[in-house]
Amino acid sequence: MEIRKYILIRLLMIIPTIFLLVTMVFFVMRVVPGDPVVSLMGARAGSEEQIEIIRHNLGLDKPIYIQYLIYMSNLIKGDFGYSLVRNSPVIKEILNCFPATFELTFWSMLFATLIGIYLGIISAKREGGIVDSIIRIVMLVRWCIPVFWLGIMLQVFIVLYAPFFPISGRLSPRIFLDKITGLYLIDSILAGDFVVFFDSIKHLIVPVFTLGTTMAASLGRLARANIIEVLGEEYIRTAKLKGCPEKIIFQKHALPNALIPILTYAGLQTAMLMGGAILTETTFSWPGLGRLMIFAIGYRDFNLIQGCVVFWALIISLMNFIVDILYAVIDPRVRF
Amino acid sequence: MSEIIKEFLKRFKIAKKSSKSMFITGILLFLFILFLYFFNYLYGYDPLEITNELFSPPDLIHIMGTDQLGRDIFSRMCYGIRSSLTIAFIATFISLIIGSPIGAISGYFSGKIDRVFSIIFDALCAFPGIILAILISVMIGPGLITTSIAISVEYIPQYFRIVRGLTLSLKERPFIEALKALGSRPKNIIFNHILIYAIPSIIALMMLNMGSAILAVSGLGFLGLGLPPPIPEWGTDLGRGRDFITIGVWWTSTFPGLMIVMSIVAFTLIGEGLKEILGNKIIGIKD
Repeated sequence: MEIRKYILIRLLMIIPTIFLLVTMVFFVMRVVPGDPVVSLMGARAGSEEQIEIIRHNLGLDKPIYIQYLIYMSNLIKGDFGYSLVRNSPVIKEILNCFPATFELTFWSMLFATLIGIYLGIISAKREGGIVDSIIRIVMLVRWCIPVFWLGIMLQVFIVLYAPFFPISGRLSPRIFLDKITGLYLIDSILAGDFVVFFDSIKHLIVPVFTLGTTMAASLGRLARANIIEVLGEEYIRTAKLKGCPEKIIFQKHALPNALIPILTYAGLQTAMLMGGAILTETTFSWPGLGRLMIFAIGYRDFNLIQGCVVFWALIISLMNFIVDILYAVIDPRVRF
Repeated sequence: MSEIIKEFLKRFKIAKKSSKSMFITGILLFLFILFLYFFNYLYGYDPLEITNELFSPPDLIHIMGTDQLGRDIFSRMCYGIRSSLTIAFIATFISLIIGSPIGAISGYFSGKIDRVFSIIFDALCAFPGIILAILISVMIGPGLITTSIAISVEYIPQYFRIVRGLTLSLKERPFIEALKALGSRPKNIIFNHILIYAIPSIIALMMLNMGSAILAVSGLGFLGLGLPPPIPEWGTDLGRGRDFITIGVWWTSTFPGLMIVMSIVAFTLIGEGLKEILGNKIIGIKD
């Protein structure tokens, strides 16, 4: 009963969070200098009247609070409005870009979690040794390298030494694919087209490596610190004293306790990236949510920006929620 | 204050070798960056001077080559030290100034105030820093101070948390109880006694945040939302320089990145080293 109540409260808490965020972004974007209509028409094109007509059609001539009320009442009905610049429903634009981001994030986080935790475990087991020092230095330096620079360096390397390899985008120019789910790997298998399948894998490798190693470095550092901390706990000493073999102590007592917070962290990072890995996507011209957001901000496309923020907040809140619940399921010490 | 420094030196002596070497390497790297900054005055190229030597590769005349406008990259990188480090410093300083006192107040009074602040900062934490920074920098426009403010928002919760935690454990100590019994005001206790003891931990966190603030500055610059163009800034130069990699020009994007990585590594090493040297105990108080 208790857990149900907690779940309900947590789910309900998502609503005010999103409400506050949307309100903030709504007013902030309207205070910002720059006009979507002007950026839509170009600086010189269009007379005053034309601009006024477009403004009227988009509902931008109404007082801000009326615009806000209209937007909010539409949002409650699940209507994100129209993109001002692209003239299509915001939800369509977002759902168009989301699969790209999802594909990138999913593979990157999978790569990162496996590599990061593995390195963290090795490093923690040999604390103070040479292997530990090397892994620590590599992870620290990798952690300090910005994704965009690593991406660009890989691109430079590819341009100079392996020009047959793609450096940006999701598919090669002359390859086409009918969208079913928008996840190219799955779509190409469904279509039975292995040329597309391998092409999209080829396009995924460099971005996934770039983003994945960044995440792996931060996860690995966290894993190492946590495992070392847990190994110093008293219950580990007790287990050792009662003659429990080292291997079992490590696998049954230390690892589960040390890894729970790391999985939480990984979950939250995944949520943040799902909203758009802005820097990685910009570097690799990856048509995901992050680039959509940058595009929208550049054109002051209010509805699109708000849509992106709401979508992002939704994903983060839901993921937060799932992680919290999982936490309680995995870790019996957590009580609500 | 001198007591704290003495205690720090004592802990430095007994710290692990690896922590010491991290700290010292970080300091050396930082000194190297400072050296580059001053060396630039001897080097004698103007970072803004446009010449007709476009894309000349690195050689003895231009150590790092020239960019798309024929400007000397090395001197741009050295001037970039100033803008990046200044923004990063201002940003971390702003978040420190806002985060720490609120953390101390929240921890000291606890109860409702504490809960409200905790919820606010938790919510702030849940939102990706880069998006906050982008929205704020779009809102208040490009510039040194505005970029700093945009970046600082991300770090406020960290100072809040660390100072709040310290305050919670400090306020149970006898000397704080004694101050209370003597009739000292909360304002006096918080600002003259609690925050003083938080200084070492705050400095360690500040160094770590300097590193990630430099990353954020360059990220914003890379997206074209940093300082306005002619000002030398690593991220902006990197973002512009990457347009030319397909014609084989690698130096316009390589060197800005190297500078970014070097400075982030420097501050991260100093911060991590400090954190390990200080340990979990509050410095200046004997247990």
